[in-house]
Amino acid sequence: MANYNDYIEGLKNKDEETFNLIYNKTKHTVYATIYAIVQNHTVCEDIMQDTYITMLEKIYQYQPKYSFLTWLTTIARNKAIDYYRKNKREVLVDINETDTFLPGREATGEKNLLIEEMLSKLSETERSIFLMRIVKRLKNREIAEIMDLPLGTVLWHYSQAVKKIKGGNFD
Amino acid sequence: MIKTKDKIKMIRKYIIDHTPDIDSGYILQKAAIEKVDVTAPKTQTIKRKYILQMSLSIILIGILGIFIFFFLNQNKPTTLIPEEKLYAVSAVNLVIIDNWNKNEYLNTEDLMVVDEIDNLNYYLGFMEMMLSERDFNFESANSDLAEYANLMTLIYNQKQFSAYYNEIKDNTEILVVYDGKNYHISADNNNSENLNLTFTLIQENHEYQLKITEVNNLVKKQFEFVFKKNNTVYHRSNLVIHHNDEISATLHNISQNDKDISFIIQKGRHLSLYDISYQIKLKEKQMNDKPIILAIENGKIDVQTGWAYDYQYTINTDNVEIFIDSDKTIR
Repeated sequence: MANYNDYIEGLKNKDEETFNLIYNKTKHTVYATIYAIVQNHTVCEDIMQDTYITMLEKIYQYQPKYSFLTWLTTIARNKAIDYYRKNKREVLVDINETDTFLPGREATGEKNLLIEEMLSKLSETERSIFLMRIVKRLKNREIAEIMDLPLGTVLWHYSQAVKKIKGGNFD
Repeated sequence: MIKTKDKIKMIRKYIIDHTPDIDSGYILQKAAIEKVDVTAPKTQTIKRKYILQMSLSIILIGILGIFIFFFLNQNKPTTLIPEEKLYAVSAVNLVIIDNWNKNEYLNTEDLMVVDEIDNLNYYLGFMEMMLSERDFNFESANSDLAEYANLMTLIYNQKQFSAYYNEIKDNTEILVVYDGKNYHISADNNNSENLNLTFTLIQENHEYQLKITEVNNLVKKQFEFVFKKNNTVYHRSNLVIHHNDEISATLHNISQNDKDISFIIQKGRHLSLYDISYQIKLKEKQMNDKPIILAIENGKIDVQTGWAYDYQYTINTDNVEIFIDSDKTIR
């Protein structure tokens, strides 16, 4: 079990070793959360930095009796949504430039293209839920808390995402 | 055609591979920590019991160990497994593995244990064959092949296997006939004093090995499973069946190195065949090679016999119940 609460004091004291430990424990979940929304690896890195800076700045607001990962992921998601809203116009322009271009495409190989194709078939909500589930296997209840959605809605979106991944002609 | 499970694994790996390292010095320098009084945060509405579940739910990948304790029958004395039965069952199991179609389970709650059900299914079947008192499924018969003096037939899951062999010696050739197909299996005893057997089946481009070391036949039997395909080991496990006042078994699945899985199986009471407790630990290796535990999943599994002699599993964790029936579906 990852007991983050043991490390909160270290974060408050800006202890580098503690920060690195927390980063390594949480980075995949945070990255998946951001990528689900912005679908651009370069932008993801910037938002990752912002997320962890904000996490440190707000660490005194965190209450250890609640889930640290949920709190951190919520920060990441809000930052990604902010970015998406601010840059929506540019993204839409990019889409219209070419039929085959999708926002944030940085595929370096056939496999990456296939993966991005699969993910692009999902709605933003489905993609967020799906990636949170598969990357670190967050529980539906945790995802419901992060996404601010009812549990049943999370389950439904996840099953829809799996159906699309399963049924898509990606082979 | 790519299986859904493999697609999901690909996507997961894609995200993990793209996750960047971060300049912690820069982040720490940049962050201006605000010392403020805490007011009620958004997460206040989470029920306390969920908090515990959340902290248990961070998952990576892999497998390290399965531990199984198996109580066969507490009221009857344990009998030793006859050597012929050991040979025949081991040979038949290699044939079963060659014909094993792995199921793909999609699990809306994504319990880690669901990935282990196929393995559990196999090992329960193996133990039953080795230890079952239902010997009507297992009998000697007159060989109908001139090349082999002995024949043992074994019925498992309503399927009949015929194992032909001559005298058991340091190197024994066994022919298993199943579903109209011949499987040539060699059994090598590597140590004349103690039983130290290696069963090998080469079938097309598959090579399967089942190693059996009998440490002390009054105390325990130790099995090592090594399944290879094109010289690549894709599954390894160790199974130890203990014979004390009761029978118990310990199974280690060592196919992967970042998950510890343990099953404690007891002879079931009432209608269930087995009552199983399990624990799965996910760990991540650190820079200094010392692993840290990232998550633990605990649960109970009730195993019953399906109408077609296969197993039905009811899995219960803190917050979910999943039923896997004989059609391999999940409800």
